[in-house]
Amino acid sequence: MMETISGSLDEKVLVPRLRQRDELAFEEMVRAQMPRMLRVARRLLRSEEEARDAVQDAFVAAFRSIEAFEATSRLSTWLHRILVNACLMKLRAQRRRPEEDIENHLPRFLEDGHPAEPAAGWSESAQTMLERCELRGLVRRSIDELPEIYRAVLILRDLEELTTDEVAAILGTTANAVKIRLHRARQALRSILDPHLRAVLH
Amino acid sequence: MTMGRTMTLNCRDLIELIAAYSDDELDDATRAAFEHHLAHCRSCRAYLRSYLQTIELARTLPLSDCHCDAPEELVDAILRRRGAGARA
Repeated sequence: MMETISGSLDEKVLVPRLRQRDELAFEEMVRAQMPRMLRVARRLLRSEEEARDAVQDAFVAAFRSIEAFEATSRLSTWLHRILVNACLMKLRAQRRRPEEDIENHLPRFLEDGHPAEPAAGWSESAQTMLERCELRGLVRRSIDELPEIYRAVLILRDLEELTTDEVAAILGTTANAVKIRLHRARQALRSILDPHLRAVLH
Repeated sequence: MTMGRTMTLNCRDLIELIAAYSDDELDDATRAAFEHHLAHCRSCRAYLRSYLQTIELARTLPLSDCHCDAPEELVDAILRRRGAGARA
């Protein structure tokens, strides 16, 4: 079953207490949401220190702007939106070279719709592959090669297993845009992994 | 993509539909055309399998740092910053 980010918070009770600046309510929110928030930040950012900074900034910003929270969305989704934006801003500030166009990692086709290069299978199961330490590193590095907006969608949907609607709300886009970006991100990741995973068979 | 009463898909069409197929979002006619093409195309079968393996690799990838918790010092730092902001 798809996991959601709602956690065990009773938001109907918590939100009015947060709006009244209830210290204990803030602490409850931090403790309930922290593990998931920290995990997302660790996946998006490259160091533990940056991930902790982003989580800290996100909670403080959320508490300061709790009046701006609209009860039409979940508190947890709103918190994740603040966090993911903070992470993406950090990543953009650190970017040393322009991102590669995702099109470079997508399959190419001939005019008649046949692939320019036929696909070959990976004969090992994903589980067997992940038992190898070097392959886990390879998958992580390959995810890091994706352009940010595709990487964020892949991390939130496939690694964190949030729903399409949750990811759309966090990124401020439509469910359809999330589906398209996710498909492109998976295709690009497959293409980056392909030469390595074909090679390990021989 | 529709030819007469039966739909046919080429490799490019099939690869565009893989995500919808794996999420079981295709209508019956498109799904039948998808599976018909797949049955006859080795390259698309290989692509589909490695696409699904890619998702599984991502889904089951453990964090390099496995402390998926709420470190007490981080909770304290947030509460202190919040306290400082409230008093400011």
